[in-house]
Amino acid sequence: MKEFLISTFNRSLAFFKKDLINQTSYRLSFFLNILSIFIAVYVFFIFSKLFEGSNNYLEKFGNNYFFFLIIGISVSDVVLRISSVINTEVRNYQLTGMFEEIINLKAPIIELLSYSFIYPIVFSIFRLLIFLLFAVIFFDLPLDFTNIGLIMFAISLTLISCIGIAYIAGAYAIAFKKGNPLSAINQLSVMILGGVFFPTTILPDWLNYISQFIPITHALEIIRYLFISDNFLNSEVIKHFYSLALLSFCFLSIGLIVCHFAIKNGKKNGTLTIY
Amino acid sequence: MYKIKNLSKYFYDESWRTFFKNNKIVALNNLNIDFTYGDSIGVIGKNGSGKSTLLKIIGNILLADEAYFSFDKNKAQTSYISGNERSFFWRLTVRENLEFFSKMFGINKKVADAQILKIANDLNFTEFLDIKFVSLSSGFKKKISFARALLKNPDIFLFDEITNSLDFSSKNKIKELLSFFKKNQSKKILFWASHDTSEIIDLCNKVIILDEGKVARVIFKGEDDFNERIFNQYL
Repeated sequence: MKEFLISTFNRSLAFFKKDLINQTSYRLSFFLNILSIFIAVYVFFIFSKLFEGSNNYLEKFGNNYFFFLIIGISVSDVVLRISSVINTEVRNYQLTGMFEEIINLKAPIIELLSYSFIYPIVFSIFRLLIFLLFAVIFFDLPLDFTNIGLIMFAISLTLISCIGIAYIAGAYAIAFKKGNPLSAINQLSVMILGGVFFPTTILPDWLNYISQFIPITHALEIIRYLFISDNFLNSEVIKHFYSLALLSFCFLSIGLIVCHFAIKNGKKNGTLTIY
Repeated sequence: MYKIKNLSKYFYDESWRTFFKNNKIVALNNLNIDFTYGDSIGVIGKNGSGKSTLLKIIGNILLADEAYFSFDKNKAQTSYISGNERSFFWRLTVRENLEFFSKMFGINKKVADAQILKIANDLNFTEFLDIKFVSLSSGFKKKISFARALLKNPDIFLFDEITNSLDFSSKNKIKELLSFFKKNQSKKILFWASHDTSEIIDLCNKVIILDEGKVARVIFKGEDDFNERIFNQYL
């Protein structure tokens, strides 16, 4: 057990270091990545001015559309990045021939793929913090950190669901290579049905019903509510926590199962290393 | 002694033109192979004769459809080295790449550092350790593939046409490297798939000739037929 933990830790660190060196070697891109957050926050600040004033849908968010929007955008940024990790990594491995090396390592491929999440998770959380920091410092975004523990728990659950979705998209890339529609569907559902730009209560009933099957819908409800001062855990938030936990469990289980079968099938058909 | 019996592997053509036809392609057909420590086995045959498929199955990169293995393929330590030079992280240095793979092989840092230095010294690339992989020449990248295989230190090395697309001098350098490698890895099993029969004669003590997925002949060093003229008949 001790040996397994040490080996897991060493491998995680190796993947993190590899990805960090790789990303920071593109210095301009790294710098622009951070700069783009500031620009995005500024643009959304101006955009939110269009919706100033009282609004039935935004009442529970203190009629502050900037608050609503910036949390939606920053969390969706994390969700979309993590959901596409395996798809991107698998395509990369297929194109470079790295898959043969990975298979040859004699460790379960799913385990090796899972190390690819470490850097993107750290970097996405870093971007999320920068988003909020810019908004708080430069645009007076009112955030209350009393419930930060619960917010972090909600983000962790969201990450688990994203990892599950990433495995599903990765399984598609393993089986069918290019033209992954799952990533596009995920992107579309997060941005339109997830409550990023507008509350899901605006949606027609049938779309609102579908949106309940998207993890970010519940994550945003929880995070927005808990970031407002004087708000504490209530039955509605607990319900969202349960839904988020259930969806995370379902997506992760489905993701691991389909990815396992895609790898097994690829190894049998010899298509794992084809691109 | 390792034994592989009745090894068969099929692929399926999934293109539309074979939609209503039998799309089964027999890549390997009932192969029987024995090998033991110290063997250096050449695998030759025409394109599509099943060389790479055989090596990939031994390396557990591909699964066989039918076969009996006298060893646990999931546990056997193998290293598959192909002519593909892209299977490294190009933005990382040679040292960073080798450190990354050493961690994947489960080697602890102290041992790995010492081993990387020793291998770099043996293969004569110490001064290139801190150079980014992207800056290396093709021949050099293959050298680093060797280094990675040596770092893993497996029981079975599977070389799959690694001198393909190399110029004459790089090919010779790789050959020299392999002779050195063979001398130092005398207890290991080497599989060497190639179209270059001179490489096979220099490096192997046994040759498996594949023809349309079947073993056409097995020729041992010292036999009269262990020569380029015979090998070329099957290429």
